[in-house]
Amino acid sequence: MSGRDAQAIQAVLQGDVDRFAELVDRYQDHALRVAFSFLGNHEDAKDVSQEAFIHAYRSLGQFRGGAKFSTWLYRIVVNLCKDACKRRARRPLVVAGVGGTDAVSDEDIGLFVEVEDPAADPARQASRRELSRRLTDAIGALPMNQRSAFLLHHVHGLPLDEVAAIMQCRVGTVKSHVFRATQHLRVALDPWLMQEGI
Amino acid sequence: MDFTTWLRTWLARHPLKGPAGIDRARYTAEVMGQVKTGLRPALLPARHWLPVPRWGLAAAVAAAGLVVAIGAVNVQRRQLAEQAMERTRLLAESAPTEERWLDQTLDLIDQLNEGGAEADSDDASEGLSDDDWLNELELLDQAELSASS
Repeated sequence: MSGRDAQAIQAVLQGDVDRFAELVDRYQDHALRVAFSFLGNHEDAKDVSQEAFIHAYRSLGQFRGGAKFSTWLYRIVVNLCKDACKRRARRPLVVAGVGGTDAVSDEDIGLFVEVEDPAADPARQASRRELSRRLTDAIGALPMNQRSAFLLHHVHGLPLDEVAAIMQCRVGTVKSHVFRATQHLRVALDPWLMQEGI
Repeated sequence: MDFTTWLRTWLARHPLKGPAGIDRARYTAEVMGQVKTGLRPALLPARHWLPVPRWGLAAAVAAAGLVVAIGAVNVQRRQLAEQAMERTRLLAESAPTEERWLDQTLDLIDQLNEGGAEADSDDASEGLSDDDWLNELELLDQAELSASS
């Protein structure tokens, strides 16, 4: 845990509640991005990530400093996202806008930034956009453990040991989840991969 | 290119969408607003509240069981006491065998007297007291007993 985090946490525990704002400022972008990758909607991601900070504050007395504060916070975020996904199982938000009934803007469709290639013809660009949406769909269809491992490792770039700490399992288990997730995605994206020559 | 390599390359070129239209300062202010309305973290230790209702519930269940058990014992005791009192009452009201035999005999004598008075006014028994009748009956019984043996 960084010295700044430790100092802020110590101050909060001693009654200086305002110091908690430092932690919120420092980690809100990360918490939002993790929540968005699970929920596929910025508004829901904001609600869940804010709830995670409030949970973290209320449980701060339990935080022993054995792991990084961010790891502990992400664990709370991921668990809250899992709960939210269970509650909304009938309309998985990762694939919001794809076949759903909710009014979702184009910005909310898909998890990933679409990069336009001016040199590519319109048909090729449309195919790549479709691939992006299919990847979002396929990630949303993964079992929750595989989805968590894949998103945290491949999308958020966290090392395997930190993913294991967040998921509270062994590194080998995380590797297995990531491998299986990748296999599932390969099968789901096969038609579009052939177009890309993969 | 294998799939994993392609996927990593693709994800590097297509990053996750960032938070859109979210004011960072407002986000922090909203969290702190909720934080300040709650309790201090030091006052919320890890699930220390759980044993309290658990022990409380166990104590309540034990107390309820004790009350039920005591009640059942009291009811049983009361029933036994009532049965004993009833038995005592019956015993107290029931006459001894000898007295019952005497009462029955006197009833028979009364019945005989009523019938005999109408049939024969010159009967030899006229003018005898109850005690004399009893003595005569006992003598008759003894005479019959000695005759039959």
